[in-house]
Amino acid sequence: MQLAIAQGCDYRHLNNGSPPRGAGTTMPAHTPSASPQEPDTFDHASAIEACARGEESAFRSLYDLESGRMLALAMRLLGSRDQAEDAVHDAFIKLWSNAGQYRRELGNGRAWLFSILRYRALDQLRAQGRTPRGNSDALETLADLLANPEAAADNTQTAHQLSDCLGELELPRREPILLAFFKGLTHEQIAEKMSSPLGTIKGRIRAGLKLLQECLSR
Amino acid sequence: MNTSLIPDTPEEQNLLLGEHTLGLLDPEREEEIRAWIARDDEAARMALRWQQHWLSVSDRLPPEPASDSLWKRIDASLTRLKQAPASAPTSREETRQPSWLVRWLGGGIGLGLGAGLALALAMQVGPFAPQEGIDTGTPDMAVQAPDTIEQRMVAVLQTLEDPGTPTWVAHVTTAGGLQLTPKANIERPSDRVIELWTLTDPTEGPRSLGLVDPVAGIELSAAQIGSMNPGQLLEMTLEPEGGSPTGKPTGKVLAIGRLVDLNQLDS
Repeated sequence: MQLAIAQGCDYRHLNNGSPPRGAGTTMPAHTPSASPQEPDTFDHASAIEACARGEESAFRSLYDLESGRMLALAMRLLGSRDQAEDAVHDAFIKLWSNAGQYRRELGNGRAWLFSILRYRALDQLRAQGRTPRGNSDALETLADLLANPEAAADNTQTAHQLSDCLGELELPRREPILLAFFKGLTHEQIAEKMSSPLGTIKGRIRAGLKLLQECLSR
Repeated sequence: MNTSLIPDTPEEQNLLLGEHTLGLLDPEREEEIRAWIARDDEAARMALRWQQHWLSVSDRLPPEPASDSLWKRIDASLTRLKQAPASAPTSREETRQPSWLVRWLGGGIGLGLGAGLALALAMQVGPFAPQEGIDTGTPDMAVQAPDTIEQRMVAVLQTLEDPGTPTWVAHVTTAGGLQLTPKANIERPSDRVIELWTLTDPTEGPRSLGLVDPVAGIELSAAQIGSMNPGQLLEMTLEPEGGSPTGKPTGKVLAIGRLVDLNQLDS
């Protein structure tokens, strides 16, 4: 694909909800951003809408901005770079194909993009029988990340809250939620991994989600 | 579609969608939730809100630099996509209530054989029916060791007009492919073809699996069909020569059915 860079829009400096900056703004040709734009200052919704209009520069901007974070999540879920890159590839192709279906009134464009990736990665896991993969110490690493508020300094205020709330959950409720989120495990697999009855795990996750909701509404 | 499994209260709905965004639900439940999100704006809103909240967790991961080859692959796929026959960019109004969704949810999805009937029909007319001259050895897959159990998924496709009569039987082969066999004659105009579709992702809509020979059926490889899961819908429609011009079903629904996991029925 030849990107229409010179004719395209640069969505990197838009705030959420802002209309697209006019055409003619250039972006560096085929090189990832030298000083990466942070997701919270990028107008994902407008970029997705531009993709729906066939504007390839918006597609490339989304790729430059989000492929690294999408790849990191996919690698946690799928356990291998090859499979993770497959998932990211499919997610971006689906983004381009389905951009016309995105409706900003229903929610955040970045969340929509990551939901495509997550659907794709979970479908890959299901096709493989959802065998948990990856490092056994993944959860310890994640626990460290959650315990370090500084690590999330680039997030929006709204986005900060859930990770903070998750950190407040007691371990028996937090751990199964993290296993589901980062490893793609089902209720049954989590119960097996934690040597707990299935009903107990389902109850803990439900209770954990409920507490997260309460925390988010405070 | 039976909506009785969707909770009544917004709070319970929200928790269910939280579980969905975590990927905790079983495949059949998962498909139901995805269809619900596709048709219900409030459900879509709640699910996206969860996704947005989860971003704060995944953003704690350090980004992984993507390889140069990843962009090249995406670039090449996009080029192919743009060269493919128009799958017509749809306007927002058109995608709000896509015709395929209305039809699948309103007519097709509610049509389903009971699991027992599906099993009975599959055993009678499906790929597991005893064949003359072949000693099947009465395989009892239910007692095999767990790691050797084969996935035995079948779908009995029925017409909307006569849901009691199986017209086609589809089964997922041990290699992960799909074999579709006619069990009744389907009449069609000479200038029309039969196209096979599946629905895995309501946000994407039905995906074409190709044209079907009404006499010989069709066999597809695992690479052609992608992942197949219990509860997944299969549908055949009547389309113009060469297949649907839009990339989505446009003609009459000839037959429709869901994949059933026979191993689950055995247990």
